[in-house]
Amino acid sequence: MKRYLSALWRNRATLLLVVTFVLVAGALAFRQLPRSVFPDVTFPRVAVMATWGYAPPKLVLLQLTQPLERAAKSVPGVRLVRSQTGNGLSKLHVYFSPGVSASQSYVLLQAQLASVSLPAGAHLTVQPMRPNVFPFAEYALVSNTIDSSAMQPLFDFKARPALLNVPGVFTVDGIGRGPAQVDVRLNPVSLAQMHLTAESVAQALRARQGPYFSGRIDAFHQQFLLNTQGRPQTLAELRELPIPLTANETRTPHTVPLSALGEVSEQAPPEIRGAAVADWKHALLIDIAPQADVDVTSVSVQVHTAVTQLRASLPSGVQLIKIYDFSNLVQSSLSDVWIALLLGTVITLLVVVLFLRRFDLALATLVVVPLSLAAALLVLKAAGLGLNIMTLGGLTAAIGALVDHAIVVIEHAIATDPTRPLAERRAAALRACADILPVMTFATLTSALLFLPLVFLSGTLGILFRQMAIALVVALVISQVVALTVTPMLALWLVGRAGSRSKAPRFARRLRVAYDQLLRRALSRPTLALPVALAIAVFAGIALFSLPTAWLPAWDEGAIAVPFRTPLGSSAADTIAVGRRMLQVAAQNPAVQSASVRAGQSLENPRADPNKGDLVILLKSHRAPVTTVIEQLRSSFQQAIPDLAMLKLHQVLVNELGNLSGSHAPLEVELFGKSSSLLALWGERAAAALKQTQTFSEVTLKGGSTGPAFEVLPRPRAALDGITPVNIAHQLEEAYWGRIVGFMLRGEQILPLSVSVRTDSAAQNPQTFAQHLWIQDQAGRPLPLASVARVRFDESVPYTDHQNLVPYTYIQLTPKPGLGLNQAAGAARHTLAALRLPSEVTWQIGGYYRQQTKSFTQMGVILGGALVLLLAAVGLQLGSQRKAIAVLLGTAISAAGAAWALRLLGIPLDSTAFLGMLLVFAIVVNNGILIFGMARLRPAGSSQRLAMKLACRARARPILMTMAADVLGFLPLAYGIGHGTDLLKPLAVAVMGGLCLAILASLLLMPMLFLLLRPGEEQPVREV
Amino acid sequence: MRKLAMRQSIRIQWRAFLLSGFVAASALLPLAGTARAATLEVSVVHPIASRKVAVSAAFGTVETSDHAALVAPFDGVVKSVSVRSGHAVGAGRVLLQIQPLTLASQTRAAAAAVAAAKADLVQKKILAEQRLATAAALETARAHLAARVAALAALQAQLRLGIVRAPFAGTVRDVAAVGTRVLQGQQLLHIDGNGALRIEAAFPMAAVRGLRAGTAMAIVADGDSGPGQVYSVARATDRYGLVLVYLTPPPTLRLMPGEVVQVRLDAAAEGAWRVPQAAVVLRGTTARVFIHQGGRARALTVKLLAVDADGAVVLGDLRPNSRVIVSDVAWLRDGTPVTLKPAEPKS
Repeated sequence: MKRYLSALWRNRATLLLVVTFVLVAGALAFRQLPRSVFPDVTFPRVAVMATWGYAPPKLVLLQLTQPLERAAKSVPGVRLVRSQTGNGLSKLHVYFSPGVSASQSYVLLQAQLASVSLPAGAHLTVQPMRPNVFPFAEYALVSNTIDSSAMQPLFDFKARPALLNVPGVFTVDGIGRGPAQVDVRLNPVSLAQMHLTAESVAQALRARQGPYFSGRIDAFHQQFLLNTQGRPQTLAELRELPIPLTANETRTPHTVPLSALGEVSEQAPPEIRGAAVADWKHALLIDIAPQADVDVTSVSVQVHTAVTQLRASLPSGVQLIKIYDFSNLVQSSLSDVWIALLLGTVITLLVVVLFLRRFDLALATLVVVPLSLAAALLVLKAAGLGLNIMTLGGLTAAIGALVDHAIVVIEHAIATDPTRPLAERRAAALRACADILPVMTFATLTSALLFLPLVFLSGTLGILFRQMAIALVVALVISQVVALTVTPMLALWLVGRAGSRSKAPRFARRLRVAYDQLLRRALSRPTLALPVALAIAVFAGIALFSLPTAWLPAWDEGAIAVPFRTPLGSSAADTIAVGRRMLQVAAQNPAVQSASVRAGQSLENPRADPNKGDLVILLKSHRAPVTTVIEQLRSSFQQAIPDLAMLKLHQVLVNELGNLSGSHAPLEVELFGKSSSLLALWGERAAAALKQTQTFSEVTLKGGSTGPAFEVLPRPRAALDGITPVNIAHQLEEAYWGRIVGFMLRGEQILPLSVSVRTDSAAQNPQTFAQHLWIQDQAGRPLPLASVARVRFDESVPYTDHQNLVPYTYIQLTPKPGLGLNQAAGAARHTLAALRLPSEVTWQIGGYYRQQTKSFTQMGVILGGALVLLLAAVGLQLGSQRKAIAVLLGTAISAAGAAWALRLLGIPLDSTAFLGMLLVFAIVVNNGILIFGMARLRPAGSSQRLAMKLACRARARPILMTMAADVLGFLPLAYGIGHGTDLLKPLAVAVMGGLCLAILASLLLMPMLFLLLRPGEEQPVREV
Repeated sequence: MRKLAMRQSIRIQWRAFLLSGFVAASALLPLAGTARAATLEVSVVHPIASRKVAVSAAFGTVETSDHAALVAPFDGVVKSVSVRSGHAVGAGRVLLQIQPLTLASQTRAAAAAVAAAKADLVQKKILAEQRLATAAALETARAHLAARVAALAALQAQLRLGIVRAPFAGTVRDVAAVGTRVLQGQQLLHIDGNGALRIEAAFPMAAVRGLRAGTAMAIVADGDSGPGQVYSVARATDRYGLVLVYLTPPPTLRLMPGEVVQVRLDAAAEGAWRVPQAAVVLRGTTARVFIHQGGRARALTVKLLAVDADGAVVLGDLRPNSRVIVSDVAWLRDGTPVTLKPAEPKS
């Protein structure tokens, strides 16, 4: 070691060059690293959506959902298949086992689904769920004069190409009512007058499409392409389109122009979806999603530039406004963490100055921070990871450890007599470094080993924390490398600098004396350690069990999603009106910055029920906490719109995380049974019982329905005159919807051509429409619908949900604020047990709770595994299992401090806090190894107790120093800088609490426990 | 002493920190309490008593009282047409000619039969003169010939029917095209005489119950409407349960024979109210309106009698001074506290 260090000292100039290179390369890597809030990783989940016009749910279930489900379930590695069958729509969510690679799962599933033969007209989309399928920014084309359908070409042919042209943009979706169509609205009186049916007009229009390929003329060494054009080019041409009259008429000409039969105009499509923003009559939302693994903030900047250019070319009356841009969130979250990191470093510097009372020493200690960070960034870049809250959090958490390493080396090296000559001092420092470095390296490797089990963490949490662990371990190992190379050189250089060590201040000397006395007394009565440890453990147990639990920390991202449902059977127009109302209400809240709403489609799905809507609300940066705003908005929404079938408020990103992992609410009660009607019945009862408990702020029974429906049953006598069911269906479609019979082309724009027949307003009365709607027989004779068909009313046709091919339904629960997940789950269990469900209905509790339980179990195993690893590693290193057990017990006791700190501040126990405890273990075990390692260096022959005492005394100052530096270094995170550090707060608090107790545990309890374990070696005290 | 001073200053700073925190908190509190206590503001109207309600509407065709639909006398092909739809024709004018399919050969067969019978009679006569045949046989042959001649005449008369003539002076419409194959009884054309106009409309059986001569009906033609009067109701239905009703059109409408019009049958409705369509909410098939009563929205279940462009006619517990809520009804609940919008209630 000594030879290595002296060789290093000789080559210090080269070392300086390398250091400079690493710093520059790190800075370059920093600029290039992709930035995001959460790690961008693929979840092994694939969403499959099959649409089939508006086919009834029963047919969709049999012809689409069930074959698709069976196919999906037979793909290797599929863990869970969930499906929902609705009106013309089948949604499948396929979850793969954690080990399966996402791209492989996607390919396997697609191959399997391709073997399913779909009914004609059905359409299948398969999408792997990645965080980047969610938009990071939303803009809107708004106008008070032009409706969203009329703005669609502007979006399709101007905005979308311009935005897709921005590098890093993945998808650009327009959300509005949809593209316009050409509406041919036939007058029933004119049809009767001319003995025409709508069908004959539709046929005439269908015949006028094209252009049709008509062959080639090959003549004189040249080929001519032959096309026949049948399609009217303009609306005027369409109006003049000749419609042939039936043969019963000899009047010339034998045709009438289409305009004689009705009105031809360009119209918005039937209102089944829509979007709105506050203060504008019409809006077309533009959602922009990023490519995977790109720096969202830089994409956002370029998108902004593209938008500015677009704005200049908009027609009058149309504006392009920004609704939200989450890249600000990325930016601010990351800068919050950076600030915390910086503040932590500054605080650490102050602590070091306080202890060493030499500014150059402190500064030298801190040199390692940028160097280690630069090297760590380089490694992150090489490993393909990006900058996100998790990796930055890992680096921040490691700052303490980085400085620790430097402190330990420098503090140990400079403890030489300053009066001696330089060469001697250098030699002494070299010896000191050579002494401490091997022990320290082993200690660091042991700490790093502790984080190894995190790799086995599965699910969302695994994905999140694996990156944090990687960043942490990388930083730890790199800091050790720095401690092995740069720090000793710094120490040697510092030794050479003039600077006398001033006498320690009085309180420090007193403290030392007091500690010496305490240590002597404690080591002479090591049995005292038992009750103390026991008391700490008991208190920790009490704190742990009374702590509320959570899956992830409360985190304030400043954006709220509000999914809502208007009463069953409400139209999209009503839903959008409700959405507009909610926008008005939200705008009155001072915390709200902007908002948008969509109806008939949801944040996740381009197609949803007409009574489904989604609000996205962006909050201002300076405002009340998000939980308060959510409660305020909830109560004002409920007041303004009393009759909502469903209202939920949650943060956008948190929900996205849940969605990716397949949970949509903190708690979900899943009910399984034979039929959807049975489940609907018991689901309602269970939901009512859960509502009564007053434990939950939201209770939502999931499971859609088509809404009220009429079934038209043709009478047998209708067939006598050739009125077939399909004939009736077509005529009803013409009366109430419009039949698409072809397309018109306008430039690149495709305009669907819809034929409809004007109806009496009496035909809109659902109680009597059968008497007022006239159906034509083949000769064009009008007959009331009631005389050719019966009409049956269905209250509603429930959608069918399947989980692994078994019908199920679920109730989503949100506990009231302040109530932990465990407690709420207990309440739900109790309520359901009291409900006495029939034997064919079974239930289980899922949601984030299941994730939490799973994570906690895994975390428990990881903590246990880490302790065993420690035992082995420490035992190996110290050559004694007794020492290892003492270190381990001391380390475990420190965790109690974490529990106390959390309890004291009322922070729920969650996965991040668990990680904090792991970090405490890593730091404390370092202390232990150093103490026992130093004890081994004592001359042979001295008693264990004496050796322990001397080692403790020698390590007291550095341990106190590193602990103080760590604890105070975490203060900015624990206090919270902005909202970016919310996720790391429980970690910081747990570490601070744990390390505070660790001082006691390392400096007193560990040696006491060790002596307690070696009573046989008790020897008379011999002071040196 | 210095220590004490420092301690005090720390204590003061601590207090100052607490105080500033309190001030900050109290500044933030009003923000937190912004959930407004105002109730929902709604607009209301008064309902209008409605004595009439449109119960049924049908398509009607305008005809003249001496209207005739001329039909094919036998199976055949339209051989020639001498008029076009809209032509005015005099009585007896040849309109079109139908080429028979089987009748011609039948006639030729009959003519041949007559010839045969004639020859038979001549032969019988000669034989009778030579006393080879009895007088009775001669009489039989004579009778036979007469029968054959009569049969031929009947067929020839029928053949002549193939020439379709106008039964009276009038205007023709819906004329079959040349070459059309027609079956016996199939319509060839319509002729409307110059008599008074009438409207023929087919109504569902339920709608015409209680309908008698003199009942008023609204006639809608080409955007205009006027009152019509029933003068006859058929006493039979067709197989779809439709009953023909004949009406006299209002002279104000300038109708033309052949024109298709809409006929609306209004019924008297006791206790019915007309409200704007926006006031009615359907949940399933149950219709409700909300009225403003005692500071709350009260849901009233009503029967939806009719819907037209002007609003909805409902039967329910309404009063002339009831305040029917017309805004926000889609998301109201029974008992929701509401206040009136500052604007005056319109009626």
